[in-house]
Amino acid sequence: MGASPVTAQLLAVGELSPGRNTLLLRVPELIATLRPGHALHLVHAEAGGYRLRRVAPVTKIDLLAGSVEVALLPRADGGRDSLAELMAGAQIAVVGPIGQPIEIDSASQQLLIVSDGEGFAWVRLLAASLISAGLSVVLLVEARTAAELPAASLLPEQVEIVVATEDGSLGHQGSAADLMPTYADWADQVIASGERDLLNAVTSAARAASSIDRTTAKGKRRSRQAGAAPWLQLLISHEIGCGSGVCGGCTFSSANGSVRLCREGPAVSAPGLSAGTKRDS
Amino acid sequence: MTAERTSPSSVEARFSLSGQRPLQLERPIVTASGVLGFGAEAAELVDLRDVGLFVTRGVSLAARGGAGLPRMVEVPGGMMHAIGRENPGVDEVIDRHSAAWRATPCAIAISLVAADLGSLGKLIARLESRADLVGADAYELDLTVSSDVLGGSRWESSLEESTRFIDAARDSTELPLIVKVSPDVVTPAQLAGAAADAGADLLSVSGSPVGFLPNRTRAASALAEGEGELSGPLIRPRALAAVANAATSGALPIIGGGGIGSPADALDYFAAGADLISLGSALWADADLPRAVTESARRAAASRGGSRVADLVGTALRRATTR
Repeated sequence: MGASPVTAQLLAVGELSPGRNTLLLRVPELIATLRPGHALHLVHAEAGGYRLRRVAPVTKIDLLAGSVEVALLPRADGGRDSLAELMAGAQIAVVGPIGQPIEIDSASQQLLIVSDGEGFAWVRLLAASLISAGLSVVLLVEARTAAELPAASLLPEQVEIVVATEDGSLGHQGSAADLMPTYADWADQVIASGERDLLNAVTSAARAASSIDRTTAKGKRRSRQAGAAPWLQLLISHEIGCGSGVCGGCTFSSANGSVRLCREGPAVSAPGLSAGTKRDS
Repeated sequence: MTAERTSPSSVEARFSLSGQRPLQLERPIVTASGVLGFGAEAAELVDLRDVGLFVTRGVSLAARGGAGLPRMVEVPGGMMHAIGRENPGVDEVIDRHSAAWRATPCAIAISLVAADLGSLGKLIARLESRADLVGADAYELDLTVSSDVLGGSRWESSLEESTRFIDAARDSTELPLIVKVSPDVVTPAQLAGAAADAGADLLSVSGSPVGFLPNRTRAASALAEGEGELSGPLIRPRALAAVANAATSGALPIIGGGGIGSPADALDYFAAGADLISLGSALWADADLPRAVTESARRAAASRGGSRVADLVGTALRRATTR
């Protein structure tokens, strides 16, 4: 049988950014198994008793308190998630961990994270854990307006945050991917998380960076070992499904083959930019 | 003086199809195609001893690439999906999964995906040529698949083309044929009659009707493919209506499903005329549902003094006609 649900107690409902809710859960059975990139499946009964397994990326872990924060992904219909209406003390069935941890190479010291408002939920825990491990992290984050950006206070202060907004209300006007050329050579690895347009733009920028031999003011070149973790990884969000890799609901097909995001994901290496491609060229 | 009550445990839950193409199922439970994969992984999700018929994910002659992401979204009252019948093609499916099929403690139906009659015939021929490996008990003809001859519309949108499809399959195999349609099918009762005449053995009214949802936060559809297939409680009344309509024909035994999330939901399908119950996405959240449905049906039959789960079939239809 597949992993059986365990019961989590809801401690609080919070917010990552306006309209992007989080649930703080007490779930001692799972907490030690969770890593950046993992999600939980929340088995939630809608009206009428029908239950689906909803994907909720893990955004924060507090081992001492025994609590895990997960993000509720936005609904396609724009509606508020009924889980966000629950009161503290409510019990929620959860299954996890879902997916694989994001692969960080042991030689990596400088990590570039590129995210939009949707994708931030998948990288918040990563950024915090990298800082805890003593690594340098730059986050390029974009949103439509300044008001829709995740609060800087959600991250350790050591994370260098560079902002882009579509309307120019804060930071660079445009996409976070526009800022890639400045940081690409600096980064030992790049993790991008967000909607398809951002991931495509980041991939294009990475390709351009790999074909141009240049050194930025921050840059320093290192050679990468064969078998190292992919230089560019794309985190692809998915909403619901079986969580067991059989339903095909989260299968991502690329030139590199098919990836079941709930099993082998959520991170996929960018097509044509697999391990060593950039640094060894 | 009170009538002697039947013990639920003594209520017969088996389903038998007799005649030229017999099929015996130990439980009145069918797993919907796609929900539990091709086979090798299914036993990790549910106890297949509680299932009568496992229907594989759709298999086509050649490999089919899947739809883009998002493939699956939650909608009010259920979910919508567009997987694109992704599969690696019949030979690879057999290579990977036939050992699991042969070891499965329930009957197996291979769900066939074909956009034209030529590929349907070749697909069945390929399966029959490896019959010893495959060990299938039946084939499911999925009429909710797009048809080339219908310009991309589903086979089920045309009674004439559906009949040709079933005819072609019947000419290719002696195994029982299960014809699968959705509530979108053109007149379920008519199709049931035509399917029976063409040599089908069961009608599965458990397919997903078509849906569409814009993404309100982006200028795009919620699914990458645009249209998708609906599942969940939102389709249950429509699916029940289609089951009831098909049942009035009396042409074929019926597998009913769509939005079943509890044993009580399943009893509604028996009452509407389903002989067997198809369970879908609810299995992801409740692996015990197959056992619970059978037990509930046994109890319901026993409480009415019945000795078979089949005694529950069509009870709502009988009341409707005597009113």
